[in-house]
Amino acid sequence: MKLGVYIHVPFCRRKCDYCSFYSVPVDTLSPEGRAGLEAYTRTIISEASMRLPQLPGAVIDTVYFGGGTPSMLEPRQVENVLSSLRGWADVEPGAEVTIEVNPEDSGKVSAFRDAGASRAVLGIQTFDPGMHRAIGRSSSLCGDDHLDSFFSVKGIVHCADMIAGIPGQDRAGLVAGLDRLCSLGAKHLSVYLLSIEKSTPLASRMKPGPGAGEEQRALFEAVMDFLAGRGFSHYEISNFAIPGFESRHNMKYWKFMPYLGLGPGAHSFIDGRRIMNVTGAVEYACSGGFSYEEDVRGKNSAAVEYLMTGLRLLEGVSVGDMESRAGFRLTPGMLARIDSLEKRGLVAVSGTGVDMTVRLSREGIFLSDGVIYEIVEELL
Amino acid sequence: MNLENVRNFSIIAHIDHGKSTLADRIIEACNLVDPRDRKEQMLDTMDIERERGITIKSNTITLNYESRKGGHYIFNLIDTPGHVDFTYEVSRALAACDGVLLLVDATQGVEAQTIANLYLALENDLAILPVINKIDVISADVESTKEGIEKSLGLDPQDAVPVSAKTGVGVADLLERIIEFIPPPKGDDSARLKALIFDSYFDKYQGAVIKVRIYDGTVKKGDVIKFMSTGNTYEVTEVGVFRIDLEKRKELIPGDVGYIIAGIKSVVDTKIGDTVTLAKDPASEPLTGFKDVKPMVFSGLYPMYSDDYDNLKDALYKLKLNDASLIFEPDNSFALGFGFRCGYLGLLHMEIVQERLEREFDLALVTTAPSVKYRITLTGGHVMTIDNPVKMPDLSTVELIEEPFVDATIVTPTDYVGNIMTLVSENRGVHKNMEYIDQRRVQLHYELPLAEIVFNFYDKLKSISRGYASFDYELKDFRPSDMVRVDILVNGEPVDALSFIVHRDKSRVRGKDIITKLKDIIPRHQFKIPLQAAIGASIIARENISPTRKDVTAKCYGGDITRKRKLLEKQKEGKKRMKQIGSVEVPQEAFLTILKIE
Repeated sequence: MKLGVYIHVPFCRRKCDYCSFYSVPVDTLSPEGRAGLEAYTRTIISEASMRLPQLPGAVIDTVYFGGGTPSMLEPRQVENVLSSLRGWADVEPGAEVTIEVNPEDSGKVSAFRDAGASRAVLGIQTFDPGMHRAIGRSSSLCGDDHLDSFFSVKGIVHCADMIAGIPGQDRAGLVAGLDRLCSLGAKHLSVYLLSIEKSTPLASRMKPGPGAGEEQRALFEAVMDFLAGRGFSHYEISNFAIPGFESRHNMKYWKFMPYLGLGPGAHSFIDGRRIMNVTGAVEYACSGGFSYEEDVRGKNSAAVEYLMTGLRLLEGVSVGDMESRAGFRLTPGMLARIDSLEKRGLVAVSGTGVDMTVRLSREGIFLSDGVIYEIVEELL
Repeated sequence: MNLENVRNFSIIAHIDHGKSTLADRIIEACNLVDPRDRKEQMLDTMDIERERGITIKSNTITLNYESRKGGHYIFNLIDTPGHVDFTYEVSRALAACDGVLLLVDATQGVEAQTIANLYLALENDLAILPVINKIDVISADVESTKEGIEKSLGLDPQDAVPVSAKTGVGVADLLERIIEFIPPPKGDDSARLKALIFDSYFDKYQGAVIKVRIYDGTVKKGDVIKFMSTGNTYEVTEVGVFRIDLEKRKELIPGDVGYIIAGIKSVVDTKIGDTVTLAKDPASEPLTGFKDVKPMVFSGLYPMYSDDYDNLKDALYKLKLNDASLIFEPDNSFALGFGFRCGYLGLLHMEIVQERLEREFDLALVTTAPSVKYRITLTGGHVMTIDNPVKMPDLSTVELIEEPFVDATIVTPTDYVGNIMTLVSENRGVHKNMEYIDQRRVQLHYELPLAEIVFNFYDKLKSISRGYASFDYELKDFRPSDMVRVDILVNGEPVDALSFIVHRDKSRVRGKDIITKLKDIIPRHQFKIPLQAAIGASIIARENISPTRKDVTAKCYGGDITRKRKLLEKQKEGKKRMKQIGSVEVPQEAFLTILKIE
């Protein structure tokens, strides 16, 4: 079994105002902070040592250090985690090893590479100081120095995360930023539309106006058009890559493939079962990395999840693949819905029977929440 | 007991003038209640009555009073419902009395309902003893109140008894004045039985219990009684009087106010104002004043969740047990599903019924806009009445539409006369006359279409007069009016629950108002949704809901798909609260919001 491993690093120097996920503030400059990250790394290694042996035959082909701010880890800690994975399971030669990096940590990228990383994702979000302030991004604003030190590292795939759709964001500025990243050699760009989540500090000061949806869409269309012109393939709603540089790890989430999540709050998907680790960093540490529960879902959940994640991929979902992986065949009611969506120009359908594939149209991308809901509604 | 020592009376007052508090003091002074068991507003038994400070069902109590001058007296204190919707019930309760205490709040003076109540008392030929309440309050103005009593009520202010029901000051004197001022009942115990039904209520074990005042004759257990309006007969199983609880008596005699239990299944069979006589030796003539009351205001009542239909049905039947004036029949709306068309005596009655359904039966309801009854003459000469906008025939087949008008009395401080005149003329009112009550306040008389009153007139009146104006009305007649039905179309589909009948001059404004609200409430869809208000085929107002251009959320997070799944589940939950109109989903709350007219 090919297996992805996700390592969740729920620590940040300070939480961003728009973030609604669990994270713990850690001061890497303090002895306590450093000791905390060291203890965290040991617990990850301990968790790996307990969970990987339960998956005999697993061959790890992707590893992803996500956060939080995984670049707060020392390269040595990353290396230790990776070598523990190799100790308990086969890791494929040429496995994709990704780490998310904040601009202020860009100087550590070559050391991460030396520790085993093959991809680094720079969390830029925005180059615009006004927008950076507006959303309350906690990391440093990405400047020329950060870009230089990030992109000058050879032997690693350069990726970046951006946010589009900040109220008042300037389209030309956003595109110019992407242009710069393309010129510097970025092979993979994730562009997320800002969503203002309830009970975040951002929500208390930023209320989207009536035209906000329209504005976000216009910005995102500009992004799509620009990146298409630069040879990027728009392969998932929020992700663009030079062909061949798609994120193999993230693909596992969308394609219903197995992955093991290590760390506080990490999720695993193995043999059709979803496992959730305890969320709190302290609880996680106290349990020695061994406190999780199964997310027991209803009988139709596999099909719902398959479609919900699969339709985010712009290549769409294949009926045959769905049957073999999720053990589910589209019902006549769902086929009728798909037909109606196709007539409305929201999905494109090709092939018939098990060869049938369904994918979002360009319009469908922008209305995907409603489109996906419409298809899976009868299963909920 | 000698009839000379009986006094049958009621307290009448404008709302909040202290009627229930005074009743409490009188009951206290007659030592009916152990002080330890005392509650505020003894006679108001429902929570909703205590909260709103109004009486919905009247209660009655028999009290023993020892006069300071010697002599043992029986006081029958007959409580009356306190609102315009229950005018007829009030008038029948008053018919059971020989006199009334007309209570006026010294801080407010004479109000619209004081006047309306006075007329009811006068119609019943009662002795009217003015009582000035709240004299302990600093802002009390006893002299102006006396002026009002003289000028606008035409009563002798010399008779007025000042009291404070709250502190009890003056109550002892008042009780003595009652003996002097209110005449004892008359009656002949050897004549044929004539008893007035002035109220009834439903008891789980006994069935309908009727409240009666005996005029002539006697009634006892075992008698077979007959209701003169319906001809129905029943065998009496128990008679008695109202103390804290029912107190059995051997018989009821002329002058008595008490109850009869006779195995009557439902209050629907006990018509208020009817005359009870003996089946074997009936009275030749019934008492005068009987009317079969008809509902004046109608609305659709639907369960918010269609699963609740049976619960709503049960609840309505249960309410009806105790409220003969509530009528309902099953109704089916395309937009709202199965529900009921209900008829009420008036707006307050409607509110009370809805509130009791929601509170006592824990139902979430959607109510359509209140409507009145229209009389329609078709071109062929056929006459019909409708109370539901969807039943309105095509205008091309209509010769004439008539709508109910009321006689309305508004009492207001002079400062607000201008505002009120504007409000009334906006609501198609016809000014009749204006009289000064005292130097500060006037009494305005209007003829107004009932349809305008049910459309939030009262709330507007209160707001433009800062709560000072008071209002009362009585149905007058039907008059020809240029009424039209306005339909609301969502994406071309008419929404039956939102149709309403309105005067043509107001149709555009009101139609616009509704679609503007709808525009804010209906979420954007993947397509453009036109909203229209139409009279027949002609569109009188239009709005568009522009399509959603973006409905996409950000990434999954490290393989945690639970948020996304929860989002789908939330969408599903949300959809349950939607009504599907064509291809448009309208939130249930939309009906609540729209039908709540501002």
